[in-house]
Amino acid sequence: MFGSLYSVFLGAIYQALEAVPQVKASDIKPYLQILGSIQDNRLLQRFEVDIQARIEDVKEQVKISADAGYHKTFKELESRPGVNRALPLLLMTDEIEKWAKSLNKAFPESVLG
Amino acid sequence: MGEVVEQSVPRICSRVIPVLLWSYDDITDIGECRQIDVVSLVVDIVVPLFLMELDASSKRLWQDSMSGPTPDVPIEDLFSLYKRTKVMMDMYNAFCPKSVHSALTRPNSFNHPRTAAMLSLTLPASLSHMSDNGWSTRITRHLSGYKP
Repeated sequence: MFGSLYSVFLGAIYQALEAVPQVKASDIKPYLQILGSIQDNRLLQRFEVDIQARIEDVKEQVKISADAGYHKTFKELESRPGVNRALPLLLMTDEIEKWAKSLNKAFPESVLG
Repeated sequence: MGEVVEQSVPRICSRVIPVLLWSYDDITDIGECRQIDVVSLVVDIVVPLFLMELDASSKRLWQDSMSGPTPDVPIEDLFSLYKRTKVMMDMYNAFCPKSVHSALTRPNSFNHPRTAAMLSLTLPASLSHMSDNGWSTRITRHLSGYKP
């Protein structure tokens, strides 16, 4: 039962993380609290061998979202009118730094850490 | 009565010891594997993407910055691009110290093709000693938060 509960919540997180890199901590916090208390239960580690694979799935999802987010943003910046080719790149660095800052603030500790 | 106790002690031990070992494995498992560090994952993806983008357009940028008296790309923008790229690399090294690319983007080893592309803008060497932009300290704090 613990195992399936955990999977359900990981699935929910999986969906919430699709908003990365602009994801808000408030979207995920409730899930994390529940996940944390489930994970503290040692029963889970005894019986749920599949969890590690699910966690890798979530990591993969974060990467995919980050990749998509980057390309979407850069495309937007690039399609703005103007001959200055350095400008989209400069604006992109601002975006990346903004993402890193807000994510660092939103997740001061590793998710599930 | 005493005989029963003597018998049950080794039996309890033989049950308890594997469990102790097993839970120790679990602890290290939590420490090393069961982590999803969102910031690292995202930075690990987007910064290399940016560097590739920069690499691909560096020649064009360089040409555009020399196109006539009023170039399409002001040279100041190339300087700020250089500075911003350094910020990106510092961020990358701080958030993803274990990443495979990390050694290549370290500030003191500009021998990677991507970073070399940026440097091919022939900036004076003195510019490469940028002051700390504050990321390092922030990130040390970040890292110390989850280091096992």
